[in-house]
Amino acid sequence: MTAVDWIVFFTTLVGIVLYGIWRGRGKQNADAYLRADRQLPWYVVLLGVMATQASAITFLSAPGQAFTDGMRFVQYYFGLPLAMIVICATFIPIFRRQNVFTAYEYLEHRFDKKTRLLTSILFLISRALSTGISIYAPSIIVASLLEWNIYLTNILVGGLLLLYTMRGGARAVAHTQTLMFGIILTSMAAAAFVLVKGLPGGMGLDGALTLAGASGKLNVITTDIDLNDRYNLLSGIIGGFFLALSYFGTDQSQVGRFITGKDEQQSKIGLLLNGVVKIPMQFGILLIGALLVGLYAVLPSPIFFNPTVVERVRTISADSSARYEAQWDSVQQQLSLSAAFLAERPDDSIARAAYVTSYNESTQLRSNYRRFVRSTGIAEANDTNYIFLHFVRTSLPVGLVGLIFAVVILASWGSISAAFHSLATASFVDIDMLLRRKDVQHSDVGRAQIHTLVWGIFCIGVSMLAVRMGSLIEAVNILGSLFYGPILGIFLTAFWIRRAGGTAVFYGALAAEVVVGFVWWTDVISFLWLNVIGCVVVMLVAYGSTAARTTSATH
Amino acid sequence: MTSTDDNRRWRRRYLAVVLFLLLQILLYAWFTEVWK
Repeated sequence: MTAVDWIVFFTTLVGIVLYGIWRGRGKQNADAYLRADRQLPWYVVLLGVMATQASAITFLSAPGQAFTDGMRFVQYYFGLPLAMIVICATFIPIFRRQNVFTAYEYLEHRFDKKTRLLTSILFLISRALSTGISIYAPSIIVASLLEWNIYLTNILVGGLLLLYTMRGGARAVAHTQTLMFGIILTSMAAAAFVLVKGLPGGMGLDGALTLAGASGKLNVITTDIDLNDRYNLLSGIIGGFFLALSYFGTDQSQVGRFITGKDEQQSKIGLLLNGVVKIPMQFGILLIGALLVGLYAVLPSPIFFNPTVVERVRTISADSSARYEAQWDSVQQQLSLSAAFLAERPDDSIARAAYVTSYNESTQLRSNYRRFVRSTGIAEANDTNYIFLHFVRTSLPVGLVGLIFAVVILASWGSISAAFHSLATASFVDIDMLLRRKDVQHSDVGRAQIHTLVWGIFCIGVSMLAVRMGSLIEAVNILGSLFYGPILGIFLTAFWIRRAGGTAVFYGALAAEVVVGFVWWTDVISFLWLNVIGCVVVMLVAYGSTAARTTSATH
Repeated sequence: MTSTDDNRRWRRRYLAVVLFLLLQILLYAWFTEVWK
């Protein structure tokens, strides 16, 4: 990066931290710290909810995903608007009426203490571990490209935001998320504009779309029925619905955002608009990746997008590396010629067939190279997250490069600050207060701030361990998804099976965990469906045992 | 505004979100076909 990029990068980060400290200034009380006094307007709720969901990986992975697998990933979000409707109609009015600080607090009102504690603890375990990974995932990319120390990068990504999150609580989190998400969207739009303007002469947007389409990357809708495939219309609508319902309705990192609304209307409008704008936004980000397919069919690109790994492979196995790179040069020349030809004659079937053959050869060679990387003992054989950043580093103008690198950190801060705050709220309200048999008092704010600090340090600790975890990282991510369905089942039982009691739902949740664990272990179905299964098992067991008890009581 | 009016207004908003989703799916299906 140039000096100007570094200035833009650090000014943006320091500016956000100062803004967060400024927004969180003034006298605090526990309600302000935990729920921003429930005074936020709908647009802050909307951007807070979106910034919490979108991590750095969202903005790096999605274009990479479109580049390698196509745009069908967008179907993953098709169930989201439907889930927003259910949450607006059912969850928000109930949380509002009960005046809760956490989603799990409601479960004590409805069932009993043990159900509240169980769900809160499940949330704390899974969210704390996944937040550690959310700190590590962008850190490793930034550290790798900027040649920084990974441990210091973890502290930059996970630690700086603690300055305003710990002091300012919900208000600081919400207002920084609003500003950060504005910067993120503007920067991504600027990058997309530069990409479209910079397409080689004679190619244009039409040509890039023709090439992306011929490469099979504009497959937004796929209607094949395969339960083991998470990105098709059926999985997206049904599996995506249950995933979004459990994430937005029962995960405190999201519930903690929308309960800050000034009134029920403001919370509902913010959440419903999330259902309106989320899919077009994802479509736009994925389209950037698809257009990069067209761009890099004509212009040269590396065989592997993570330059650090390429360098390491060269030192480990110089001969094989040179052979692969020479082969890549020749395949790429062929690809470039056939791509330019097809871009000029989109309706020519011979030009299309020649391009498809060259493109398939190039993807085959890239796949062989990845296998070769793995054979050298290097674990990072996946370069999906580096594809968009390659374009950023090589094609964006001075200043925008620094801004996009800052965006990677800001996107992390948006979700991590909400995670720290929600972990602190859950452990403070659901465990600390419960054990001390007290209600939340205004003067407890200092205690809540200590909870935030402790969770921040814990999650940064997990990110440090992640450096040595390797393939365990995926296991941590899976762990979270095993809890989602059963937790959703507990909430839906609470809302919709009126006669079900605490014990029935508690055993229902344990049974669901066993079933979900077994189905996951057999690996016959995509993980999206685990949420559906977990939720349905809890509701069936709770309904069955309640009905059986009612029947035996009447006989 | 009565709560019945309010409920009716929210039901209309929910319907609008569902219709917008369906419209998007149709548009994306068309996009997929055009650029196959």
